[in-house]
Amino acid sequence: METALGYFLMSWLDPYLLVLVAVGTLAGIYIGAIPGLSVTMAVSILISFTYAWDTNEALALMVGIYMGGVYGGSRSAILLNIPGAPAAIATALDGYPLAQLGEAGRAIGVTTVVSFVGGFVGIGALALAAPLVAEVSLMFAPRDYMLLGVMGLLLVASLSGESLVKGVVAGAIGILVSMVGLDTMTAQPRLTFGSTALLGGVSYVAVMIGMFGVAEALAQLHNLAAPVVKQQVDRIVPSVGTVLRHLPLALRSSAIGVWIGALPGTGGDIAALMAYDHARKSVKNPTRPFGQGAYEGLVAPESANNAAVGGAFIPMLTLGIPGDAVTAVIIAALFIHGLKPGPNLMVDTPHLFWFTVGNLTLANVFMLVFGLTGIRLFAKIVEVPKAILLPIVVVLSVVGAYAINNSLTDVWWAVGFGILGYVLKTYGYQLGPIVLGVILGPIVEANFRRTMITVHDSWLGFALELVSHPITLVLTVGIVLSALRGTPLWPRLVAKLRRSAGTASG
Amino acid sequence: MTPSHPRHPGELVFTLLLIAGTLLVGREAVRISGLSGPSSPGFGPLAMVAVVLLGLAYAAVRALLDRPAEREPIVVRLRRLGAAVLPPPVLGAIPVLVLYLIGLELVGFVLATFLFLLVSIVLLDRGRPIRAALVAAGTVGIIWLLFQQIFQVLLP
Repeated sequence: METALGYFLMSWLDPYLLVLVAVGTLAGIYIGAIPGLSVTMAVSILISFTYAWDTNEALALMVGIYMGGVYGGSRSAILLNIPGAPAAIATALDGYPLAQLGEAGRAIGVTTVVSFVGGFVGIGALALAAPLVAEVSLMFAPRDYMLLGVMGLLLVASLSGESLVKGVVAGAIGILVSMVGLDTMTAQPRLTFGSTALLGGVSYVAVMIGMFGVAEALAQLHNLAAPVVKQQVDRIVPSVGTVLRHLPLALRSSAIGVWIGALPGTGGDIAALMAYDHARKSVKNPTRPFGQGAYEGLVAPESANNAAVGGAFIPMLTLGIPGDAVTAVIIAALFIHGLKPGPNLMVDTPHLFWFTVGNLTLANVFMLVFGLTGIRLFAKIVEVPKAILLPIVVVLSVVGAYAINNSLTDVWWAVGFGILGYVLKTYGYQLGPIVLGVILGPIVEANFRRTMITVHDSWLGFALELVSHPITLVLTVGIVLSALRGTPLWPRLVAKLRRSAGTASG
Repeated sequence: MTPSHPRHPGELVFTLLLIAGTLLVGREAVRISGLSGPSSPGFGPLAMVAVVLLGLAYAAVRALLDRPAEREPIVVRLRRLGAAVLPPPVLGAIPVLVLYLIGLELVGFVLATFLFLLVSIVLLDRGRPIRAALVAAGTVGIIWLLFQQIFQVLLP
């Protein structure tokens, strides 16, 4: 216990790490607040710069950026009606009407405090649940890892795009990209088209920088003409009464955030939308009607998306399965630093877990402090014209891609994937599943092949494996339900179940 | 559950291009280990190619079914395609980006980046070359100082 506390307080007591978390959180708030820049983009580009760093320093910075960035997205949602991050989409629905009513300062204050509350609930859940999940996950067989990977891909495919089919196609493209190069089991070249340059595979960091940096910058060029509205922002610290009034909803929404965040593949954006929906259904007397400046419409998504941060770390640290796009990038960073996220991570490097929990807690405190004090500066920063910002994002992507191997080939890859990602996105194929496919592809394939070897390549044996253990059965059922959810059969099934439930109770 | 989305301009052609690209990848996947057992190295790539092809075939059929009843003139369709997929800022940005990468190899990071930022900002900001030049020079300076000197990252 004392050791855990020591790891937890590492960043609190080491001035250098403390400054890194603070700088990361501040940078995250700025990045999140600027429309066109996303946390995923920032962390993707940052990975390559932190190659040579000590793991603890790199993690301290990234965790700060993640926590700050999820919160920062609310700024531009409230002030400009442009969510700075996907997790702030729901925030704009009531945040911007509040700004139009002249209550931007108060709205930002409430948002900051409930984000802090949500952040703590998420961190608490991480600290309590992760060690238990890690213990259970030590019982996992290869088939269970395969199923978890498939489940993550299906969830993100069904929830993030315009159709499940396009999401699945995107995920499969990502897996195909991950298969390029020498096969890890047989060292046989795969999908290299006879090129020796492809034997080493495609750098997943280059894919991430391309998809989240270059492609996003190109996509943002569509909205160059969005007008900048200057807001008068004054008093923002909310009264204790206001906080207490919204606390129950903040706690309920945080629970939703933790749960959604902990599901593989789903993150703050979906958590925020679900919490908003929950608020609309559960709050009988909102401060104003929803969509017209209800504070409840801010409290629910903002507490949920910050709670999802802690939740997303649960599958990442215990199973090696990313909870969302940012944790997928952080997994890549851990690989680069020679660590293998998964059940053994908590056994081999227990300090890393409590160190991360400590960093998240510290970042949450910094978020509250910076959020309530740096208000005027933030209002200014969201006004930076995109015509200046987007070319700079491209340059940073180029520098980041080059830093992977000091090779221009990776820069060409990043730009190539950026252009491809932009076109795919334009046609409704989301980029999240592609990047998740690149990260999860090797996990899914290797464990599938291991399972197949144990059943001597028998499909019947494989099918029996999928229902052979309670954990496996739960995962299999989860996958079937996720797949059904995206088909036209789902509403009919739900309606039928409701009817039969109604008949039974009536 | 699956909401119906209007067809994106050029979606059918794009889907067919993706199918053609996937078939090429499929041919390469067959070469790995043919159609041998599921634990062989070629099975995964083939399975993923099959998933992509099935999904794209579905998307192509949807795009065909969602075709508007009345065919618009080709000029109108091209204009809609341009607005949705390649609006002027994107159309200008992609060649500038490719030229930037070529420039990195030819003239080095500092000059190529300065020119890239200058041209991009002038094009996107509609004029104001002096402001663009100042921003470009300042950005190159900050990036050089921050990454080369502080982060010790090699620049292209």
